[in-house]
Amino acid sequence: MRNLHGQLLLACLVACFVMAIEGCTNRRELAPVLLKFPEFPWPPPEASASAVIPAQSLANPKSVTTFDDVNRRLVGALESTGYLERSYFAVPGGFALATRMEQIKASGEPEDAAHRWILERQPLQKFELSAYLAALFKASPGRYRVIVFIATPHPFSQSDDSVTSSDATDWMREGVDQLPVEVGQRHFDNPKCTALIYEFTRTSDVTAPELSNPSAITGRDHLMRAGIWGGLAK
Amino acid sequence: MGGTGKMSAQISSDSARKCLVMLWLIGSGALFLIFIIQSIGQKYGARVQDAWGWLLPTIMPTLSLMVGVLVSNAGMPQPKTGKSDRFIFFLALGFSFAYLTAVISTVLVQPFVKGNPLDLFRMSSLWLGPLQGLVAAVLGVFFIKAERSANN
Repeated sequence: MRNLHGQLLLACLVACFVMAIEGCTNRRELAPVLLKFPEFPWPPPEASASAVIPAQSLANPKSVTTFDDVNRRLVGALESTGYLERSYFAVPGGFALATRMEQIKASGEPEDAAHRWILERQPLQKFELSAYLAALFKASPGRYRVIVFIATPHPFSQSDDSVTSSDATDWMREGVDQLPVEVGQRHFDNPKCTALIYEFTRTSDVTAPELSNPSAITGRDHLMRAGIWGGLAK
Repeated sequence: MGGTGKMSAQISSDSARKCLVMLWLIGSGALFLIFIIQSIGQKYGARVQDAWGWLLPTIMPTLSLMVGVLVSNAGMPQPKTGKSDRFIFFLALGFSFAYLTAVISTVLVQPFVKGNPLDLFRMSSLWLGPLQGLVAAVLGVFFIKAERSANN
């Protein structure tokens, strides 16, 4: 009887040992893989327009401002105006936040919700002679925009590199979905943030949108008509 | 009776040729007009040459052949009694009509197709290529037979 108990105890110990080893292995597999914080092209490629966001719109009035505070202000303003997708990159001394490419009107306002996030030429859904003839004979031009907010204490200029619409679209995929904690916790006294507007214009049905440089409107007008400027001022 | 039947199976070569050439001129003219307006309207932007690069090989070989035959025959006296096989003529007419309709439809359907119109043109060569081969073969037979009939 004692022998049987001894064997059972031994079996339990072996089982526990095996489970412990497997548990360790699985934990190792499930351990969060720290992604490298991807870098934004630096200095940033030439933009269509830019605007410096006032420090008081970004600072935390109650305590020392961190990058996380700046990020929260930016995200709040963006989400209130429909920019729900964003992508983060590392820049020297701070971070860059890129919005998803959207379709805009010539005035700088976003297109209607149904067409705002559609980048391809859309076919006619029903036949109307005037619309059909226009679609057959004329190009259906489009304007597109990506806004990149660069939060860094360092002054910077733009490079001569030209960015394509494909590059700008890829920024959404290439960046990370949230500001890394270690970046967010850093202090950012007297916060500085510059919005770079990359505006693209498609002039024909068969060519890719090309960077409009300079934009027909200022960077601040872009932000105001997108509703972001007002959102930051609140 | 047999003679009458044989007569009804034939058609004046001159009229048949002119009918075919007219069909091709009208169809090609419509296509050229659409493409000219589209080019002016910047429909194809910087890739306008790619668009014309699709149109010209699609219609010019057959159109050149037909106009060439018509012009070469215009310079020499033709017997008015030249006859062509009615079946071959209608076959050539039918294939020509189907081909031109397919080409024009490819252009006119653009506004209802998602994506790049040049991709549609490239894809259309899948069905236009074989059809163009058939049209060229039937037209070739028609013109050769019409020529022989005129010489006999």
